[in-house]
Amino acid sequence: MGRTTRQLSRKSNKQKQRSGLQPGDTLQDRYRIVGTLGVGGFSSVYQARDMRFPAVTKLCAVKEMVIATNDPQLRQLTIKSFEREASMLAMLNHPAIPDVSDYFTEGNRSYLVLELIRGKDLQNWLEEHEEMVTQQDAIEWALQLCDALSYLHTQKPQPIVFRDMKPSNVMLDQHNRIRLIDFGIAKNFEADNKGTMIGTEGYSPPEQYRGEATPAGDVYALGATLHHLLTRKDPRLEPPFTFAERPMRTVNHSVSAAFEAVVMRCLAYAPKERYADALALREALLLVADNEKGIDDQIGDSPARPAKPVSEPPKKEPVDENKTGSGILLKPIWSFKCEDEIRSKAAVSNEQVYIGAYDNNLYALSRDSGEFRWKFPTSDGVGSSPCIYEDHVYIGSSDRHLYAINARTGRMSWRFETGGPIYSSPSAYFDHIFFGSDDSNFYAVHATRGRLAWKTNVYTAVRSSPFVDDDRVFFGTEGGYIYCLEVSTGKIKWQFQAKRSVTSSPTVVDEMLVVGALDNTVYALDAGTGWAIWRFPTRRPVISSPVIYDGTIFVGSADGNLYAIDMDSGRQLWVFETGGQISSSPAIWEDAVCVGATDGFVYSLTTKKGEMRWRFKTGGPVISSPTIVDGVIYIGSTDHYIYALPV
Amino acid sequence: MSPLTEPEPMKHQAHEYLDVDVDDDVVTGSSPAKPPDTSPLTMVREPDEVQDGSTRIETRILTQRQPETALLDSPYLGSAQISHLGAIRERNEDSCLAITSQIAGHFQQIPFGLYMVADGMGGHMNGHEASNMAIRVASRHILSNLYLPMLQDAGSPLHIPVQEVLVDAVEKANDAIYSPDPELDGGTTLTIALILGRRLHIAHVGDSRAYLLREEELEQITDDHSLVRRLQDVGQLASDDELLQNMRHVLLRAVGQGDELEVDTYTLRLPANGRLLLCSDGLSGMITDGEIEEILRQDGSLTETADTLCRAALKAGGHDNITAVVIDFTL
Repeated sequence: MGRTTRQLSRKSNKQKQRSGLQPGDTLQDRYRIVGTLGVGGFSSVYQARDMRFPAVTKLCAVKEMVIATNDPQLRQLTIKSFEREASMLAMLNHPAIPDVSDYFTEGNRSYLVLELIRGKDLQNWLEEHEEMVTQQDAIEWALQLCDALSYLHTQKPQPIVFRDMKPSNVMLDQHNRIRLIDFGIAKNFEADNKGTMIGTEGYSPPEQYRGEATPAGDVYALGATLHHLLTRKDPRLEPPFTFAERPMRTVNHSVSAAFEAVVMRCLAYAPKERYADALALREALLLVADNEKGIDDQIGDSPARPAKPVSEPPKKEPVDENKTGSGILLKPIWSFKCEDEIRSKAAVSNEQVYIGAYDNNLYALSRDSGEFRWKFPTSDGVGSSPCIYEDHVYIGSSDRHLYAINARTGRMSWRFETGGPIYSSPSAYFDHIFFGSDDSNFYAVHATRGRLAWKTNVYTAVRSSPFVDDDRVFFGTEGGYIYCLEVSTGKIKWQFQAKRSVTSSPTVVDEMLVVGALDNTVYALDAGTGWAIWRFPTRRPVISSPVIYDGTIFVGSADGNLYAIDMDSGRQLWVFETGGQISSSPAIWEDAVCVGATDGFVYSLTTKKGEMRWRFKTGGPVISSPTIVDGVIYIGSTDHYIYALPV
Repeated sequence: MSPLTEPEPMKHQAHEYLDVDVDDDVVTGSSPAKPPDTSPLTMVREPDEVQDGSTRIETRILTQRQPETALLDSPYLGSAQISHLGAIRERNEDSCLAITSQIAGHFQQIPFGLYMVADGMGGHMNGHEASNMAIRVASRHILSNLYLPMLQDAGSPLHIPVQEVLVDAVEKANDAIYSPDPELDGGTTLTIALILGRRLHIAHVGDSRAYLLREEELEQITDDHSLVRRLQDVGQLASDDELLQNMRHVLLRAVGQGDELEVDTYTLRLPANGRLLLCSDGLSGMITDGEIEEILRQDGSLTETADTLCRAALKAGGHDNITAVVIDFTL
């Protein structure tokens, strides 16, 4: 008992009360101790020889329980209830339940004499076996356990509650049959202990801590036992009531969705939501066993993602990919085809949508209908995203120029030449346009006339797009630095060195700067000083730019995952796996987060849990980032189209 | 704090701050940090409070408050702390630490404040040894990995994330306390608050708490790693449940209880001014958040605030050791 539950008292260092029965000691002039089977804080089990049969060696198990209280009245109560339970157990008759033959109290200890069961308990079995328990074996054991528990639960006048179901209390005997040992009778003896305790019992249902013991509590503990057997994760070493966070199917491929659902129902927090007793559970298990007989468990090989509820249907999608969860076909509001790939992000004004394409053009389309308004040709591909400022659209091009184009007419007002291609997307602030170039400079240019305000040499190409606030401008470089410059002068306030290029664009909320880097890391820095606060590792480079909403950071990685990270702690809240890499930067609308992936899909997920609402298939990898305005997503694809989709 | 430039004296000083009845046999007279007799807490040192002659009962308040004439536009950090036996326990197993400093930066003085509360639990290793060791080990790690490097080059960014330094500090404390021998089992809660510039960083294990008093509200920053909290989280325990009392001391996580430890971290930007409170459950378990807020909002020196908090917990029963570190900031 309680092998891993450590009990510590904050009040005092009471001497641990150890019984110390030694081989040779005799109880009641009848039971001679032969050896120790298990020692716990409040109870121990010994192997003893029954001397009433001197001619033969008749062995039995003697369970010893320490009466912890010094209060004589409480002591009497403890003994009374012990005797009542012992008498009740003596009346039971079931092959899986050991016979109780005697009980007595000596000094401050009570004893129960039981049939000695030889074999191996399931805890030991787990320790000795490397391989996973299969669903088939688990169901076989569970049915036997249910059989024994049902016997207890249907006792009259009141159901008997086992109270201590766990692998170490389940024995596999010589004939591979399940036997229950060690009733939770000892629990009466522990009630007095109020010292600080570390760890929990792991298998116990929440209501047991309130002192409630019901058949539904045994159902929970049996569910916890099965979960432990099938995942090899000891619940006593995990936070209590967190089974749902460790789906069995992610670690044990033999587990079917139906079986997992049965176990998870056993583990519901509220007793009412579980199977009422072992009989009901037994029927559910039989149903699973019958249904899966012959069927070669087709869904066993696609374990549920942790981010999704267990009950979700398997991932195999119908032929038509563009369906929402409820089966409604997701139709774009409009789409528009450019002459080459779209890799940048759209800018959206009241009336128009602007997007650059690798066909060298900047397009202006009607926001409502996608109707073509104008296009402006640069001399090379456009990988930078446009920005709108007053009546102009600003865009960088691989032809090394930044262009200021009249939003209404599509005519160029000015252009500004740099020494290299421009992939960094401009930001407008205080009548200035801020952007970087492959010529290793970062520029601030007057918005109206295109005159240089300042430039700062940062020694390597700048492809990251700047974040600008009242005093400062932040961006990353291909040389792996994150810079903070004074917005008025371009003077360096601080710089932070990542291990690889920073192509992702920083965002700042609450003076915390968040940015991804090609060193597979998302960094959080103090925006005022550049001091690192935390870093979050992904498995591949992070090109996607983070977006922050309500204390949560959303960012994609080339490892194919979209991550939701808690801003305060740098901890992962959820992760959603797409079928490709994510270079696209997510966008938020109400409680939806949208992102594109190189598997060709645009995904819409819930912000809270990362559950997929829908996904939309385009004709090529989606590198472009979504822009969401008034519930409409505008996003380009390498299939040359820009789509307007309803969130 | 000049001793910080050399590791040894620093260690020594930290020890002096922390040695709340470290040695049961030695009843020392005064330590450099002991408050003057005019301390408002003379009440709690009345002889009838001393229940056990072999145990040094000590209450200590440290204040580091700038003079009232401090210029308003420069950042200000001040702190006071109290650690009290309580009304029932025979020994104070809480430990705490407060270091308030400024670092000269290129543009401005950077406020630096390091505060800790630890509530020890006894196995055969005494609870106060565990809490004391946790604070010594953790503060040494933080000072040598954050503070000293900043003194060397205040203008350059810290490249190891602050949260990682804090988590490492807690893990080091865990390694120092943890023993695989169950007979030497000891444990402690540990709540660390680091103020660096305008930002507050927290690392936390257990059921001690960090509260932030903003203009509009009192916010509990840390989550208790307790069974009660977990039962409430899964909707299986009402907060007014009577059985709460019996389970109040059941922790789910503590420093020194295993070779692996999950540490909670929080980072938040502080408001322009406010107060921060770190306390053991001898305070937060005895009086309500509403009462704590009311006391934190009262006018008076930090010393008085710490004193009033402690008195309130005593008045409510003082069932456990009471430790509070109160920090006042204008940033």
